[in-house]
Amino acid sequence: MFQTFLLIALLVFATFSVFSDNIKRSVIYLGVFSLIMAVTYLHYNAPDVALAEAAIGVGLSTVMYLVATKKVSVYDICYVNEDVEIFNDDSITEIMNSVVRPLEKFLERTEEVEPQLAYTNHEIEKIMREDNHDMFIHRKNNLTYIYGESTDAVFQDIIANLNDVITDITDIRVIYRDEVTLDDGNA
Amino acid sequence: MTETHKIIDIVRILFAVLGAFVVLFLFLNHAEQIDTPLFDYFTSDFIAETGAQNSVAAIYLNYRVFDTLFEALMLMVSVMEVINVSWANKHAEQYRYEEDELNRKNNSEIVIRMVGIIYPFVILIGLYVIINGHVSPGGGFQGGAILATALITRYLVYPNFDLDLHVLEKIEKLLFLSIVTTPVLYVFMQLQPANTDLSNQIYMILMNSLIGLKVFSGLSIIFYRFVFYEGR
Repeated sequence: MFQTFLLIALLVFATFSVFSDNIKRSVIYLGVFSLIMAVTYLHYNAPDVALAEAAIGVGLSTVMYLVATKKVSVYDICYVNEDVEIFNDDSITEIMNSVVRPLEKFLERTEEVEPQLAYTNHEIEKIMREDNHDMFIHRKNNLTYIYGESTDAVFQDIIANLNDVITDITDIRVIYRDEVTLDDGNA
Repeated sequence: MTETHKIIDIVRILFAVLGAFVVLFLFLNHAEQIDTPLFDYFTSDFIAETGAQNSVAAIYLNYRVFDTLFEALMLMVSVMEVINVSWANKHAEQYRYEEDELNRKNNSEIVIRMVGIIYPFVILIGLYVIINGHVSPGGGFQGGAILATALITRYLVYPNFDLDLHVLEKIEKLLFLSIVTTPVLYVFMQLQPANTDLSNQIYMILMNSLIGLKVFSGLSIIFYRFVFYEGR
């Protein structure tokens, strides 16, 4: 009975830690999982392993994960180009050296956030409605649009330093998503 | 493009079902009776042979001490690798914590007080687990991990970089050298002063404390390196 309870609790907390929305909550669920794991080892007559699990799983790795999540903050960029038929890594080379690399360098050095780039060829309106990215780069007919929120401090810094960050392209249009509606966004 | 995805999905599901069947078969199949020669060998007379009352300690410090050497080597190599990786980051030095003032406004008062009360007890239980490793459950690795946890909780209360990691590194390497030397002399070459319970127990306590200190310094080097040289 006790064994069944322990194993089911292990499954439940493992599922919680995988499917949780908040990463800090995930870490705490993982700590609880480790604690129950230690009790399970004790139940199976392995006190040495239980001690190691309690010290490493509950103590060390929980604190380490918490410090790591405190240190890393990800800035999510989405690159949209509707003209490309099938998107692969080669399609991004046209803006790689002019926009993406300087932008990543700026984000890493000055803003101290971790840049993360996704790309797609779906329609920009659909992406904006459904996905939650911090910043969109939209390429259309040799024009480059940048979408972002005006309340986002990092985005404001990027816009303020845009002339230093991106030097090659002269006609970049910046659109604040919360100040315009989506229909006249590319006006 | 979508078809290949479907095929890969089907293959994955097949593999999962097959794996589940194999695991369930092995788990539920009690028809085969296996002899336990190793179990009998390790548990029949370990107190008289090794002087340890904990059979696990008898195994990892006497019967199978060769494995322990490589475990210690593995930890040391991983510590060296962590140091190497954070050296590769050229701007690592500039992220070092340089404020001398205690930054307490972000930390909760409750956590600080409670950690202050618990801290000596954690160190005590770590030392107890190390020194009683051959009698009760525990041992060098577990005790060292508990000691490292104590040092890491200290970081939560007092995030200051006053540890000399280079000295700790040197200590760890010296400890590894002595961890290799002690069983080579005592177990492999049988250079024992007297083959009695007392000398065996002294050997166990010595080895456990060496391993414990090494694990403690290794884990704290990894943690402090990670906290103060990586990221911001």
